[in-house]
Amino acid sequence: MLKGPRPTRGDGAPVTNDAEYIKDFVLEGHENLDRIESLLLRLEKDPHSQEMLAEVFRAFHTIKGTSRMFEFRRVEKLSHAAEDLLSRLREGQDVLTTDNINWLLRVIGTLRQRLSAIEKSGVEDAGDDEPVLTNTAAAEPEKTPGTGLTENTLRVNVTLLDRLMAEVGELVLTRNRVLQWSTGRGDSEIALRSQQLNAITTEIQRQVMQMRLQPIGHAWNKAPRLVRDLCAHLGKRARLTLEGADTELDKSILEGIRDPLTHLIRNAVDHGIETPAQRGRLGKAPEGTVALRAEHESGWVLLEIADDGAGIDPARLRERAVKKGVLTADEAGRLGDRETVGLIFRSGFSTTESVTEVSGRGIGLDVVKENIEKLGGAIDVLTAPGRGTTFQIRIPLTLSIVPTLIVTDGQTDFAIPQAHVVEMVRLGGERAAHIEWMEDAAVFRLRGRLLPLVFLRQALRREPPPSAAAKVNTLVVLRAGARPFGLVVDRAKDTEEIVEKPLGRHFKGLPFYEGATIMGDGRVVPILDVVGLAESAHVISALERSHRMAPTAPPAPPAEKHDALLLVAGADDSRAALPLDRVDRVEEIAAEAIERVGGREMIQYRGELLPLQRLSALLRDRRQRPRFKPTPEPAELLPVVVCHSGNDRRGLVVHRILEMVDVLPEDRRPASRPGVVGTVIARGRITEILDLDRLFAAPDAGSAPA
Amino acid sequence: MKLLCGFYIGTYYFSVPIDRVQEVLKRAAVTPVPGAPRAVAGLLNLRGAIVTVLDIRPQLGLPSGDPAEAGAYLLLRDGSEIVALRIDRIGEVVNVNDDSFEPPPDTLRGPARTLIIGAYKLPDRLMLALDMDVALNTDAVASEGKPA
Repeated sequence: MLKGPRPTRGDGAPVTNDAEYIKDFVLEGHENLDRIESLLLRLEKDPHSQEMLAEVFRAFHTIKGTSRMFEFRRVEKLSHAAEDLLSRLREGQDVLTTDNINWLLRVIGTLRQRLSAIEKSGVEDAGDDEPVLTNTAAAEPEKTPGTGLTENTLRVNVTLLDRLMAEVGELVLTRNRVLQWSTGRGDSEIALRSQQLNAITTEIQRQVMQMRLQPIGHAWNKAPRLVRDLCAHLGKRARLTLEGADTELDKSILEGIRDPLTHLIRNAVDHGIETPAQRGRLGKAPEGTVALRAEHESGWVLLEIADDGAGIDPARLRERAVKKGVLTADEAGRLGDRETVGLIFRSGFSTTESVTEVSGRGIGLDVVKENIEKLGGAIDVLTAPGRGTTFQIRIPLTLSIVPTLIVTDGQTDFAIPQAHVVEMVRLGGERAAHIEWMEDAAVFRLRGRLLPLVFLRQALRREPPPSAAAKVNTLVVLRAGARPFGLVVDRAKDTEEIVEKPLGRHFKGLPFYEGATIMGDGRVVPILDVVGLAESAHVISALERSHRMAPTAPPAPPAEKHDALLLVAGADDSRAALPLDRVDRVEEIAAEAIERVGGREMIQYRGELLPLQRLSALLRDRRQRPRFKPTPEPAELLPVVVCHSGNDRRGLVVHRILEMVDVLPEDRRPASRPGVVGTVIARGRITEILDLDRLFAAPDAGSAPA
Repeated sequence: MKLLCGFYIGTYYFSVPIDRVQEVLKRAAVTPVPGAPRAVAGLLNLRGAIVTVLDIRPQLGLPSGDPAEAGAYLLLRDGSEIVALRIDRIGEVVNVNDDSFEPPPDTLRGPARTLIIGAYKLPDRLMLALDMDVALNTDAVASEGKPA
């Protein structure tokens, strides 16, 4: 679609050929031609598909319509001629012969030349395309010079892409380590550079993922042939419709979904669609329909294979389940229809009375289900007896299989990505004595070196740390950043290859988890975010402290309530702390994305306008002169802390994100001025905890740019 | 006219528009997630997708439900996400007229006040209209009882 208002052709007034519109026109034209080409290739195999003919017709019609608006007469004439042929084909006045297809391909080639010329000069050069339209022996369209939009693609070896992907994985890990290290340095120059490294790495990762995406149409390209052959073989009639063929997903997932899809299509024709005679008796059209659909839905791809055939009869399934001994008559009687239909995914449960040559190859729907689940997806079936069956598949956009270690804190199981696991140490008996305390930090002497400890249960549940004498079972040595730390768990259970799935929005801002997974038995198990856990448990700073301080006697266990704070810095190295439970996200925004609305700074954030506040402006009135010489703002990306007060959200523009700290209520000092709820000593400096409620309530505070 | 789906939590009879309800699960294995906001009862496996389970009982002043005890889960469409709300049991689906709707009376001060946008007057009783923006927004739900 063209963006924005289309130029209209009023009463003879010439159209202003705005460059932006022309660019859109050219792009849209190429897209339509791409579509037409791929449809023509499919039409070659299935020349009577009204659906596809109509689509080609519409695409030419669109080109004709827009070219007329721009008064690109040659394009209009070419597409009009093609549209003419298509309407004859649709009405059955003509048949799609190889000659016709070749003619259409030639017209497309000429159209592409015209579009490229328009792209370069913004106007259509004079000329006559009549030879192309009339002379079937016209020369093949010459290649357009390699500067147009169409020439911007390149074939790349998949192995190379896979290797690149793996390297990017390493880059991400290295980036994480650098970030961790730089955060602990307190050097703003290093922090700035590593923030840039961070942003660039994220972008590279995104782009590489993007490169691996392919349209689902690649997995569908054999479907027309498959349906036609099956119909011929079974004496049935079925029409295949495709929707959303350009929906993209990761190449490896695409490969993995190919066989299950083929199986389901085969099933739809074999078991779903009835013979024309049966359909006639039921008052259905003699030709059945098999529909393949694909669409994106927030990180997932939804696929559907739907037929308008016989459907699945739950009563017959129940009967069969009892006969096969899968269920007792009593169990079958209690099973609802939906649950009964779910039986078709049980192993060894074939739905047809007789094994047919087509579908009965020893592969059942149980294998289909298993393969889809291996990809981290799920399959569901909806059916209405007499009206048809729809299989719905939900698969992730990209594949991420992670080897993990499953541990338990005595109550809940957790998965830890093995990439972080260095080793496991079993503690018990006399070894437990090696746990020592430095202030509130527990450490363990591992081969002569001090390993800071995090107690999983206490870290997650905000319980007080166990007393020094507490019995500890298992220690998992983890690497988060440069230095290892020990995670005290109740017990390590198993290793497991898992597929990571995202958590819902309620978990945003929670540092402990990076996702969750579904185990073989259907249980949900959260995946620990090792870096986040280490940060929130303050391991990194605790370790730094331990290097400066001599071991002391174990202190009394601290009170159970910690306040989690996010430490941020303004441009002049001024500090502030934000209550972590008010922080929704930390984002980076491009400086040029900031808009000024009524004297206030705003950005477009997730579909809404987010008012911005500059931290330095908030803090400026407090300090007469900056502690350090102000460093210039990074030109491109600004860290923004998105926080809330009630339903109100604001973005706090800071210079740097420092770290997360836990403070005890007794370390908190009362506020010294309005706008501040209290002060704490963090990283050796008195730091104010901002009163977000108050800052939000005063709409104009600090809205001036820093 | 609109269709509402009724459900019970404690003594409250709530309702949400039926088009926001994807389905009702009679039972589900909910994995508690320690450290999560208070209103998050855990996670459940909905045919291979992971769904956040919310429990608004604490905000209603009711003891939070034991995930092991019997209950039901109302799966609600929330933007592009599906969120499960823990309920005691499902009620009926009723057709209501807009003119049977009343905003909550000013005198209503109980814990339910922030969670409802009003009530529909059914012939035999009141059906409270749950404010889904509040109920499904744990920021509002969870901030209660946590240090500011």
